[in-house]
Amino acid sequence: MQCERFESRLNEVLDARQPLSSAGDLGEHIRTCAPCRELARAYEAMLVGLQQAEMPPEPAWLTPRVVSQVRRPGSSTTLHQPRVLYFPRWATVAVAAAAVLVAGIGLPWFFNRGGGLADNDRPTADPARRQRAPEIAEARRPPRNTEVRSIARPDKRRDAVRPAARTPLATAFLDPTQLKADDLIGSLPGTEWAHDVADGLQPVTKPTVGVINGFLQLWGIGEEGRRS
Amino acid sequence: MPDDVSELVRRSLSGEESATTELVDRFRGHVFGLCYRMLGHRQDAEDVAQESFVRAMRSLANWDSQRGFLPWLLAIAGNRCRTVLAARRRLPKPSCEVEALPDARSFRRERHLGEEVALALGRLRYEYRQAFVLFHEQELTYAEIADVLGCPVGTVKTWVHRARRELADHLRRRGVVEESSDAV
Repeated sequence: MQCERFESRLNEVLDARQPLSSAGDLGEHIRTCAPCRELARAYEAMLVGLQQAEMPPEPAWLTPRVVSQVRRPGSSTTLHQPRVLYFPRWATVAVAAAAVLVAGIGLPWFFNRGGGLADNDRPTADPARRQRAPEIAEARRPPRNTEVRSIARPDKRRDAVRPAARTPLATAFLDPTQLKADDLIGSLPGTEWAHDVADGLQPVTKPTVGVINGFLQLWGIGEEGRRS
Repeated sequence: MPDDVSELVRRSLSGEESATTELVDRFRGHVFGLCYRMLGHRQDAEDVAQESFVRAMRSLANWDSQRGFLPWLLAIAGNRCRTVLAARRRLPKPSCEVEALPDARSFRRERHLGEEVALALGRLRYEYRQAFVLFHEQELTYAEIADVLGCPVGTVKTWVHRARRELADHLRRRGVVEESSDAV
């Protein structure tokens, strides 16, 4: 027998639950091979040690306690304190990062594209208004990028994109039908900051929006899909 | 015996307390033995054995009679042990590690071979330890162990072989091989 085969043969004998002394070929080999003899001794010691390893007697109270607990109606299977859920730190960071991304990119993009609370997205019962819906949508369409770029001062850019006069918040409360999404957003604190973030992230958001719009058109639910 | 167990289970499900008592009495040694070997702590093993039995008895109706009762019970106990070990890992570790102990040769008389094996078992990977204990102590077949662990028989064999090898290496490193009886 070769030494490479020795250990697998040793395992074969143990798998068959036979004593190592019953394998004659192993005995022959270890008479001449010191390393394999040492390995066989270690295996033998392991088995002897396992038999000698301390095993306390099983508790006698186990049976009555289990039976009483099983038969008790409405008792809980939990014998210890309620389990505390530990969130790993990376999960917290991931959730925070996702929230920042949604707030910084998703919301400005969502409202800038005319979604959300825009009037033309709301179902209306007025048939005349329904007929004029494409015209209204066209009138509310923000200028193309080229138009925006032609304006030199960045602080005027937003006014150019949203030329309509803003409805005061009080009017919106008195007559909600007059409420426009841009007016509502403009009235909220931190809107300027959100626009700044959106402007700063435009190199990222533009291609992303393009890809998303492409998919929406492919599925027939985007702007083009709705028109078709 | 399997038919006997099926009958006990049927009676226990119909509300016979004596059948439940007999079921627990019959298998408590196996369950406690596995828990003790996996956890290495008597009180923890008692708690987990009790919890495993309570869970098993409450879901007795889910037991598939085509499957052995002992593998099913040991699978529940093994899962509970894993949960306890995972919770234990979250606790701060003691400053004095076992590795800091001196070589076994220096106090060979005091330390028993069994203690060395128990110590080495505690260092094995969970799957290796469970497969090894189920094979060598609980004397389950490889097919039954595969059923308990939910993995192929070949994987179980590999785990048992690796466990043997690691235990043997540990005993050689600790210098306790020479003192054992001559092998083969």
